[in-house]
Amino acid sequence: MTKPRTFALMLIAPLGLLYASLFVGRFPVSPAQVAHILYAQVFPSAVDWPRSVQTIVLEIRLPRAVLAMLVGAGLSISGAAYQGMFRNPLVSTDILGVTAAAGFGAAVALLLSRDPAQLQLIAFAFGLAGVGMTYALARVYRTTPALMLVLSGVVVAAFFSALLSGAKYIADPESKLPAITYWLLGSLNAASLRSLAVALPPILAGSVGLLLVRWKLNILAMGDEEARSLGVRTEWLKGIVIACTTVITAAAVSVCGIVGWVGLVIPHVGRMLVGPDHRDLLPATLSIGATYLLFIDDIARSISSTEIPLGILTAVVGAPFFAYLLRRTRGTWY
Amino acid sequence: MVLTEPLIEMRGASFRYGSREVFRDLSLDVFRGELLSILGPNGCGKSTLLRCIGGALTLRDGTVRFDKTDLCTLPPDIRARRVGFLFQQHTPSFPFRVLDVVSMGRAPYLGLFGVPSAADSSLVEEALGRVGLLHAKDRPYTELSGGERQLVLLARTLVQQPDVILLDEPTSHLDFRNQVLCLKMIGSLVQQGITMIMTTHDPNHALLFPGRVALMRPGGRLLTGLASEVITDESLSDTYGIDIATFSVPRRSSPGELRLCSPW
Amino acid sequence: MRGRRKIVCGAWLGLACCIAPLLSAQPGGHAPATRNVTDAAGRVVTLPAIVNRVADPWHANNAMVLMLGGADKLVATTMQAQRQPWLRRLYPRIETVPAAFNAAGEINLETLIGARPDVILMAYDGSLPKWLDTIAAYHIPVVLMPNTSLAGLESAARITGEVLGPSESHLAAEYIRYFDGNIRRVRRVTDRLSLSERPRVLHTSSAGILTVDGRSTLIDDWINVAGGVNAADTSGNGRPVSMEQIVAWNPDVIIVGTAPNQRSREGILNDPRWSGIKAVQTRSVYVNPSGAYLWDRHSAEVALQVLWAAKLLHPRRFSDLDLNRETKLFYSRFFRYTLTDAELSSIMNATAP
Repeated sequence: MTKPRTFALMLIAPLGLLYASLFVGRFPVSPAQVAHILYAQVFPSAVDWPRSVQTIVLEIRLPRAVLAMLVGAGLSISGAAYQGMFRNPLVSTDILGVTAAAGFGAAVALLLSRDPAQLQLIAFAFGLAGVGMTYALARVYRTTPALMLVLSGVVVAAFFSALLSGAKYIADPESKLPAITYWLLGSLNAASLRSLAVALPPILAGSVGLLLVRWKLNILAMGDEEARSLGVRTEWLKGIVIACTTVITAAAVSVCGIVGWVGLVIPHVGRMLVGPDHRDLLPATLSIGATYLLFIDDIARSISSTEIPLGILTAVVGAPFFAYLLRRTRGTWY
Repeated sequence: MVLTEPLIEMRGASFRYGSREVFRDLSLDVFRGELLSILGPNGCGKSTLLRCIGGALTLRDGTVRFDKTDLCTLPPDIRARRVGFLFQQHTPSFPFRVLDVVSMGRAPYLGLFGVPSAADSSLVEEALGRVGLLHAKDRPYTELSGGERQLVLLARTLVQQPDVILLDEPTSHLDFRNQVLCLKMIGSLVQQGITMIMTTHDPNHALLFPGRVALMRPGGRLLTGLASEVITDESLSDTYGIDIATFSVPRRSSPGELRLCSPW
Repeated sequence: MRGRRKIVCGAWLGLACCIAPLLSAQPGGHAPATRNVTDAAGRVVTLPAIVNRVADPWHANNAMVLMLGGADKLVATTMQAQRQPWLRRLYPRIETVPAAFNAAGEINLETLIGARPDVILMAYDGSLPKWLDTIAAYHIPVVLMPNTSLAGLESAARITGEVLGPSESHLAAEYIRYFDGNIRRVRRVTDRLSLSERPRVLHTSSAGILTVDGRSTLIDDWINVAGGVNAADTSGNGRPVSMEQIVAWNPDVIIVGTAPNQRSREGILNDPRWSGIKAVQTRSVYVNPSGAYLWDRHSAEVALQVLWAAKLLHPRRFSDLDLNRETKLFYSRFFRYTLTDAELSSIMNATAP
């Protein structure tokens, strides 16, 4: 496939799936009804559908679908940026402990019975704090070598995982423990216009930040010393990448729990489709990630009357795919 | 060689990693258009010295003046417009295209959010032409041979358009053929007027070029001068701690003689 | 190496000699020293004739033990039971009973063994508790009781009484009579209802994430007895469901279970996503009462829950039912505690006393 055609497809696929997501689900709504409802939002016209249908399409499915796309896109672009920065294809967005920290923050919020908006803020704040700790721990002689970052990330993640286990240990088993458990498995169950409003700015800002420095990521992927010799302020650039990625991931975790595998696998798919150059790879991962998580979430909410946790589905689909990639490439980077 | 104002002036330079002293009180001049070989055994501090010259490391004591300024005080992008580095070892990264790797050399001119333009691309192609790899421009650089990859990285320093290129043991990880390819390219670039400083542990590499040699001896002292003067049986044996003899053989490609050294 | 192993073996042997008499020592000593109880898993469990020390890792059942008058025999309980505000009010000693079981149902072996229980009471939903093998070596009898239906609650009351002793068994029989009476009283009215007369009820079960209680549960049972239909067409407790699934179910009544109920209720009433649902449009969103344990769960107060739910779903058909009076009577009769009006309202609104 030629490059323009690939990118055209990457523009059409998520939008097409978004439209489909509005009429797929447990509640029967026809594609025509969806079109009508959307049309009526722009050009006022006669309403000939029940109010519940409009609620389903505009208040429930649309925010949820957009949120799925945002989270999928955000986690994927973050994963691609980290894989470039750490020059390691097995790195994922949670490498610096953001997921564990935000997860603990959410568990605390659930323990304290905070409402969803407060939960989002608390989880988000904990995520940022966790990466702040990692960064401070990794700083030696005014630099942050990749190895120190990764090891510090392991330490911080282990620390917050332990706290999280502690939170589960004392949680009320009738209400809070199941809530924490389900939440950790990842779900867009709680998606609403409000959670969308909370998650949109950080994910958007982080993604724009990463897109702006995406060519510099190529240089960072050559190693710190080479990058410095090419005039790149590696500490600034790493700081920008870490900040953007952390903001995105913390926002994603704060709205939908822990969704694994997206940030790990999608960048690989992107590299297979458009190559390793981050100028192409980063926009591509946005599109692929959005499409992928939207598709997964459509399954999660449609296949049975109970929700299937996203974390389970992304792993069930992601792990075999990753195994296939490993076999195909035999561990080399294509 | 034009013996005018030196491009680089190092005076009383000392460097330590923590408590381990690498060298002390070194002085060195580098002139425009010359190739200076820093020669010495492994671990004697050549690479550290090279990084200090290029401003990548800061001296403990002493000064390096680069065209009368202190490189360490310059912002990294401005410094990268003056000094290009080719490192001893490059751990292959993602399989970027050759073109994309070389274009990274334009980074010092492009700012934090900049990307290479069409004008930059023509510089890139020109540099690839100079190292003879234009035909490979769309190939993944990770698929090239070690020597070709080193030439790609050399081309990248060329598009930086620096005043001086610092080469840290550029051939140490290459096989014989690729060593020769790489050294020939360095020789031809010097003939085109590019200033270069190269570290090497192999005296024969220093002897290949007509330029000056700084022999780095145990205890971090420098013996600087023309290769023919500095590289002697005594100095080599003293520096490397083994008996080494130099001898001359006729050149194959041109008239004159080539000096070589061997422990046998 | 061998010498050291001998020392270790000796130490173990000594320790075992010290502990063994503690474990087997029983008061009395008159025949018969033991009796048999058949539990929910169909196992015949041999107990000491007189049980004086009870470990109860089942949160809800602690209130049942209290109701049957056996709470002073509790030697090990759960962290969750200790935190139940109304259980603490009714029986303050619960806070000082060692918590050998955490919220997730895992045991602290040393606390449990140190408490020297004669018997452990445990819930049984078809699978044996995972710590059963861990404690097998200590030969503490474990009695399992059903926890997935109203009938199961009755047999849990009966078994708990039987394990505790004759006076508790007597109270259990009285409770079961009362429980049956309440169910009969409600059923006399609700059994005649056609499907169209039965409101569709959704029972939400947790804060923070959307989970509901489906079929094959005790909750499904009392919804049916009280003359409703469970709107949640799924199976099991605490199932996560999507928002639109709830819109598709479109319940007539929503009952908000488990703390913090009042806040969850406000959340549901004010969320645009819920606005299309019938229960929200008619503001039929209610908080489930909570006392010694959560009324809606496996609690002795389910006897009241069926009355409460029946009155909630069919106020006109149960206009003669004075729930406040019933509730006060229940607590004074079975918990030997006289509720003030303020306390009554705290139970009905599921707030801490």
